[in-house]
Amino acid sequence: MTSPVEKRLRHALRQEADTVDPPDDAWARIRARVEPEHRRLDLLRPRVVLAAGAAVALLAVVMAAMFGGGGDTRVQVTTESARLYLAPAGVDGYDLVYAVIDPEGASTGPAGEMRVFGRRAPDGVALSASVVVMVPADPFAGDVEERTLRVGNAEVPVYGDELGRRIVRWPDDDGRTVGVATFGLGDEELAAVVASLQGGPALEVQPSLPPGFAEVHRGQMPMAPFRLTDQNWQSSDGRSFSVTVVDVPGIALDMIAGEQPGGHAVDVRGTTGIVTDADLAVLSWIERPGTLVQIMSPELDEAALRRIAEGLRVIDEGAWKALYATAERHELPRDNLTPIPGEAPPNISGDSFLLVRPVLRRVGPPCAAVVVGHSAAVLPEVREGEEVACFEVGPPGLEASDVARARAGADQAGGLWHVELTLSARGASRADALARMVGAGGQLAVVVDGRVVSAPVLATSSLRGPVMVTGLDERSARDLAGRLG
Amino acid sequence: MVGRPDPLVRTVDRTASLEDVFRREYDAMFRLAHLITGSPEAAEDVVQESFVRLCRNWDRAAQPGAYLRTVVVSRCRSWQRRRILERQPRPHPPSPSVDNDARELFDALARLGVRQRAALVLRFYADMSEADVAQVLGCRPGTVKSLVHRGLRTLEGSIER
Repeated sequence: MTSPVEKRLRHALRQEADTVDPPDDAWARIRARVEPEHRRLDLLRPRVVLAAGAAVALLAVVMAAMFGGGGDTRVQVTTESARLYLAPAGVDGYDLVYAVIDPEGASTGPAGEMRVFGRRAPDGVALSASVVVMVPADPFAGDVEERTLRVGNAEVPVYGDELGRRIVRWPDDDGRTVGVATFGLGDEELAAVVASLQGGPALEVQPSLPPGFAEVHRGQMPMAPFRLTDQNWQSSDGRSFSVTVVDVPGIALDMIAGEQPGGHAVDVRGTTGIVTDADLAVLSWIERPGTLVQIMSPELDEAALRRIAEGLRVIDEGAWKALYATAERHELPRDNLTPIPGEAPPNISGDSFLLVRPVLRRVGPPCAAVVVGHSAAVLPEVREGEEVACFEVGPPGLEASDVARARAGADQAGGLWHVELTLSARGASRADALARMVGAGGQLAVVVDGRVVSAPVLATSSLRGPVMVTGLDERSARDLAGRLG
Repeated sequence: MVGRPDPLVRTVDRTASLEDVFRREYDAMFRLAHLITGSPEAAEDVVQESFVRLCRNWDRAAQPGAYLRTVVVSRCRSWQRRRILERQPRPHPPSPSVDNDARELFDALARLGVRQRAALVLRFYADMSEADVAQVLGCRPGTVKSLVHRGLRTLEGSIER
């Protein structure tokens, strides 16, 4: 599908590139520039040692920050979640043309650690404002305009970047660059955050945050490296769309809003999405913290993009790699491709008192402090009246009406109770679809009355026969079996 | 560079010296910078500055070639901004060895914004994937897709007129 203008452009660029010749004395001039600065120009020393040393030092700082001080339970540090693999279901007439999986991201960007502070919006991290701290990094060189901000008694320069962020940066005691990049903070708030961070190592101090902010991410810098999957689908009549899933730790939807001006907000998969409706329609949303999904198409309209978004299903890594392999194998010629097999996810309202849902990640309590970007929710596991874990879960794949029979039982010692669920035909097929979706090693949450009572990890990617709900006491087991009839 | 590199396969050359990098990369970087700035003089300055910066950040650049490319593109964009501020005319006279069609397209390319131009040059001259272009431009692949798409549309419009 190479367009004529693309072909002509390639030709023009090659021709133009050949009209110039590099200067003969380029190396001499570069050497003259760098030698005075590096008298001991030992560029041959193995950099791997230095890099490893730096990483260890940085890690030590992070560890100290995470485990050193007294626990402030209001601050929720999220770990990087598992990859999310998405594939469209129910888009007849489209074939997968190519798919790219980039598990690590390229390592070309500036390395650095960062902390992100987000403000919880009604539907999660979407449209939050964020503060990002980076050490060490200078990722903003190039696209900056300067003005000043009063911090204490000093005037500090403020830079703006293409995304619409405002940035204040300064060197710390070790000569690393520390920066605060923000959307949405007022001048006074920004000045307060900067002043508090300048009071110590930026990875350790608790900054002076405006109301509602909490730390939502600590780890590698956003944008570089990011990891992504990208798939491109085409129909025989030339329409196409692509689905890109990008892991960008700490990303908030306002970053996209800044980057795609002129868009409007829509509801997509239960969270806020942004549509830009220029000649390339783009639908973007934060599927869950740190994971941005974008569907775009030059030909399809907003309604079509939203239908594709709603039909996206989570598949496991193995299924995705199979998809990737298929697409690569068929890249040329691009015909006779097989669409992804699979059924649309069941449309379960979530009202049922018993639900089985895929676990996206598990984090520590308190669950109210966990920031989520997904339509689904964070549900607590409660033992003896206390939250012991929080599960971020995807849409339900199984509900109470899928259960044909339920029987409470106990192990021989009588201490551990369970409920054995025999599923209806529809339930069995739904359970199997759910198991294939999360895959072997994936986790499901059995949710009763909004609480996770059991979270089995699947040994295989199929689920057949009765389902055992374990981890119950006698009363709750008998109660559950009774309610299921 | 031919085709899309398999992102699953990465090589990290940890022992290359600056001079090795120069021998391997200078020519391509110079031509790349020329295509983005439209000026061989600017290209020389930009690439020289970029090598100096690579030398300073040698320990941090895991992949010198990729790092260099990122810096070169960033410097091209800075150069472009300076040029706009100083209101200089486009300095590079058309070369007689380029056919009319190519010249028309290259002139149309020069009228695009520098970010779009950089995206098109990286995508169609350097043959980089959208993901790799995104890394260089410091944006997301979706933005690259959009830059490329809009850039091509604009080119199409301006050469039809």
